[in-house]
Amino acid sequence: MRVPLLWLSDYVDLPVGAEAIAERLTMAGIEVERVESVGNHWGPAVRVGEVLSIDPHPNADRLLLVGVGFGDGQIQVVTGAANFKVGDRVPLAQVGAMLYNAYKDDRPLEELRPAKLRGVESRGMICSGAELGISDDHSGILVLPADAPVGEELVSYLGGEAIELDLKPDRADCLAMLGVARYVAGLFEQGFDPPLLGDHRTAEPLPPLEVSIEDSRDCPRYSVAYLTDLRIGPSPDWLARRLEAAGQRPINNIVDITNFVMLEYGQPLHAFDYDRLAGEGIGVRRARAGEELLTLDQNLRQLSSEDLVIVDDDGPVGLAGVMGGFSSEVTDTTRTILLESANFSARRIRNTARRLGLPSEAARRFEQRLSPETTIPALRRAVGLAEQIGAGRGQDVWADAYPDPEPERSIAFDLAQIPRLLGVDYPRADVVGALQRAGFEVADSGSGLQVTVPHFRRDVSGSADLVEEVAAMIGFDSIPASLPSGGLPDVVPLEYDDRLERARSAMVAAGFQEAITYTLTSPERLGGLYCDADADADELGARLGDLLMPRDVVPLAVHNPLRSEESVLKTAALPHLLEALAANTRYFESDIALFEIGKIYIPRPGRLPDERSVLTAVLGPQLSLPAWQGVRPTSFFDARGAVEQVLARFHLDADFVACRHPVFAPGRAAAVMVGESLIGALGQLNPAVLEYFSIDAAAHALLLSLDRLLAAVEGPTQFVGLPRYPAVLRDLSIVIDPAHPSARVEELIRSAGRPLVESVRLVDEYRGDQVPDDKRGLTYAITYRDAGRTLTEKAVERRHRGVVKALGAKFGAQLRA
Amino acid sequence: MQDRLAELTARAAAELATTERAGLEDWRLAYLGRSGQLTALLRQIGRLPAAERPAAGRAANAARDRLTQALEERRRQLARSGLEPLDVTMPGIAARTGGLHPITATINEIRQVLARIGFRTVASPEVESDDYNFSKLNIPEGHPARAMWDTFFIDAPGYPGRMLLRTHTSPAQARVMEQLPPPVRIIVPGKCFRYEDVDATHEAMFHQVEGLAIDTGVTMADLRGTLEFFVRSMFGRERRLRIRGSYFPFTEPSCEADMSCPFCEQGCRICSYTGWVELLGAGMVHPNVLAKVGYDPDRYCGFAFGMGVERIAMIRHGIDDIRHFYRNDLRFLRQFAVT
Repeated sequence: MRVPLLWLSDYVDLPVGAEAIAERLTMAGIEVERVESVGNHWGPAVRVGEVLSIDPHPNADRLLLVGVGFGDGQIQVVTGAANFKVGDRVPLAQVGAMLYNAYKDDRPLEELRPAKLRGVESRGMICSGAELGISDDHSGILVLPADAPVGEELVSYLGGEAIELDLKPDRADCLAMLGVARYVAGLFEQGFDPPLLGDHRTAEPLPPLEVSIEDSRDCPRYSVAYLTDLRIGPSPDWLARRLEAAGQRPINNIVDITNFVMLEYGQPLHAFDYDRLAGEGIGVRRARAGEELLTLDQNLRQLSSEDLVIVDDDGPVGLAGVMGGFSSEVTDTTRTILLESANFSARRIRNTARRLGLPSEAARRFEQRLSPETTIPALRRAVGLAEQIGAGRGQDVWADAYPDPEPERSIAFDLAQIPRLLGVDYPRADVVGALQRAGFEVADSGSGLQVTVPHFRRDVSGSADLVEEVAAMIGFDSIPASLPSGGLPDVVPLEYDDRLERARSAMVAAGFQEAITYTLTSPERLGGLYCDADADADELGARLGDLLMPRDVVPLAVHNPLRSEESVLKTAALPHLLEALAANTRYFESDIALFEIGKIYIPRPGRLPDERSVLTAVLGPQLSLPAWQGVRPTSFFDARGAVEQVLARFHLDADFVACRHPVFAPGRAAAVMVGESLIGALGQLNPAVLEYFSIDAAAHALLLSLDRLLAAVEGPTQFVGLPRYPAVLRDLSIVIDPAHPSARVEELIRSAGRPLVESVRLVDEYRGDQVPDDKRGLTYAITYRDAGRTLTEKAVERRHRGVVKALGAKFGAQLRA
Repeated sequence: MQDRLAELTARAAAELATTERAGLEDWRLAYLGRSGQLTALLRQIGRLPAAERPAAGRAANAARDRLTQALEERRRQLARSGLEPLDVTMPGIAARTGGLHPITATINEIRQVLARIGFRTVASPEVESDDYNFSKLNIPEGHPARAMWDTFFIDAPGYPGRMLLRTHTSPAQARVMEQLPPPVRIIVPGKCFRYEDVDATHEAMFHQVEGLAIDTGVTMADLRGTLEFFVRSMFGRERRLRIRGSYFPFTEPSCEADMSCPFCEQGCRICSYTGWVELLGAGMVHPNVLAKVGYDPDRYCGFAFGMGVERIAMIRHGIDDIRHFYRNDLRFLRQFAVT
């Protein structure tokens, strides 16, 4: 809402400048987006000009040569606009003027320079509202009122300050100059002088008009005036200037009056050509299925029962509050205007305006909760203005349908609510004064107040609202600062599980950079994980797929996506991380290690989705060795190391079980099992999947279900007494068939060496000389210890031989020479 | 005897001076060991006339001390001189570590600051019902304030009511209060979504931290004090807080809090030349919201606030474009490797 001070000062004496008014309004809760000083930068180079001649451009069909006079001289300019005629007053900018370049998106302020347009020199230009910076309108030249003084600097004619309000939905009363003026008067303790409204019944009486309202919830009030003896022409200067300063282009006196009253009272008006309406009455009802309406913009609109229409005897003649019908449009031949001033359901208007994509200043006001009490004053003002400026004569209340008048709203206000909510108390007289200045009627009522809410404050309904009114008027800065005291609960529902942070810090310590990716994705991306038609899953792979990246689940779809790439809720986190990996390979050759802790969203019939917490990480092709020592290829065991580091933070031991899943390369994937619980997976990624995500290097990934992981965590670690007797270390090098996994070898060493084997650690894997091609060499460091006594060499040797024997018997392993 | 001691000491010392690290143990055994030469001399002291023994004994002990000392000296000397000089300007060797996303790091810091004054962290669903996202927050269907939140709706046939992506973290207010009688003092960090075109200051996905404190006697002054504590802890003790009126359907009175600009004294681009930076929205929880979760609004009251995490991170780190956060470009992320 743009409020020119020129207009505001019609109703209130402004004791301070625009900046101070803006500051006070903002502090009170009516946010001022910016203060504009219109025309300050134009300078003497922009004047009121008069169009003296219009000629075609010799070299361009779409350009015109325009002779413009400015009192003591005249120049020729070239323009592409054509919405003016000889004799019109227009803004003329000469070389040196500062104008907004409306051809660039950010509309920078630029100095006007002499230019040649298709061979004709142009030493100035005639300007649109956008070029002057007083509106967004760049569809044509801003044609000034006919009595604009030719030659005068435009700044002294059109300039002035305006404040741009960023209104929240509560203060619909400030979508009107009068509403803003009333509140400004209250804030600065000034008098408020709204226009005086009289009765207007000067025209020949027309027959009574029948108004029917189908449902008063859709249309609480419908008031009608009429205007006859029309003299359509330009508006007088004072009116046109106010519209222009508010950002509206003057059209003609009738249209200007409806716009002026809408801006002044916040009440949209609509003019119908009365003679083109069928029958003696007018109605407001829902559209019937199949009905159509040719609207003012000459589009044929298909209506639905969600739309509210204005009808005559023949059917719809207007879309209530949104746009009039073409058939009843006011034209040069109109003799009588039916002027509608109605109160419609905000929801109806919003639905229709949104559905048809027809936002307008009128619809914007109806979408808020307007007061039904404003329809009549707006009509009185409009008819009064028409008579005042000689546009016509009329009757201001021809018909007024108001089936269920709103009761007066009154609140018993317990003054103790003020300290209770604000933590500060004000003297009673200050409270009463603040409410009165905000427009409320206040009466004493015992120890409290009886407060009558003015009809235009639709947002106020209870004591808490009144407390806010008082705080806004007196100033929120009067509230002191303290900290909440009182008790705190022992247990909080939905409390965040801080153990997740341990997983996060483990990944950081393991060298991974945290990423955050979008929740919304596309089915194509999710499908990319399963793009390899030849790859399949074994039983374990299928289970981990269901847990972390389900294949057959249809993701939840967004009803109104911004883009098709962001149309569903992700059921797997990997695709976005793979895209991040791909993007980073453009800048980095090594150490691309990204992880994310986030949600995947698995639909559940009839319920909100299962939001699963997952840790997902990807690892690029190479890792750098510590500092200046070069790089090495990433391996499966780097991914596994990260998993182990995470698990170590929770004192969990996991089994890594080979499995098959289409996301991973065959033979390069493992499921992570804690006891019987499957908690995740890791592996080298399937090259087909990498190709799908435009990655042409090897990469690894790991995925953990944090819900499962946390469920597996047990209580605090229990202390184990420190050993009292020394350990004996023995290395064991064997040659063994690779079909026997290392983990099984370790298990056997532990069981065969029981109870003396304390720990087993793989220290080397070897293939090559001295090991047959179909075998591999493994070396383990075994720690033997007896908890009860110092081990003898003999006891260790006996146990060690037992281990070797068992390995030979079970796995055919032999000691390496 | 003394002469022989002197001669032996001198010979041993001379030999030591040319002995390298590997020969030191042999040298020690040759002179000071159990069958070493000095030890052999010491054994002969017993055979001397009684009158000479004390002096000889002292001299022998002195010789042994001197050689022991000389050995230690030589050991240290070799340790000092045996090292190659290093290029100390080369980078250090350390385990490769990653870092937290700046949004996580900012949320963690907000949590830590507010935990100090008793706010516990709560997690609440990102996919919500219309009911929790709007109706329970005093924004019934058809309320004009619904236009304040452009919403992504979810196609969910079979779901009773409308499903959507939460537009703010406020649904957690009702979710917690429904399960917990007062007092309540919580914060809710998390992802939120708005159907909004993306530009330098708007993302369709962003993070909020909601705060809620309910009890008997919690006031707007407590809100102000909490926010001042927060702002000074996060942005420095010289920061000032300003509260001005605003409107949210779920608070009454409602306010917005601005912080004195951390970058300037008199106005700059960051604060749009006002000296104040918009920080968050807040207010006293609307009686209707309290009543809907079964709290008695005449008995209990309290405040709520909601802040945009991206905004706070952008102010703290001087980030000029919100779109950096979710591109996951390592050149961006590594600048904030806070762990």
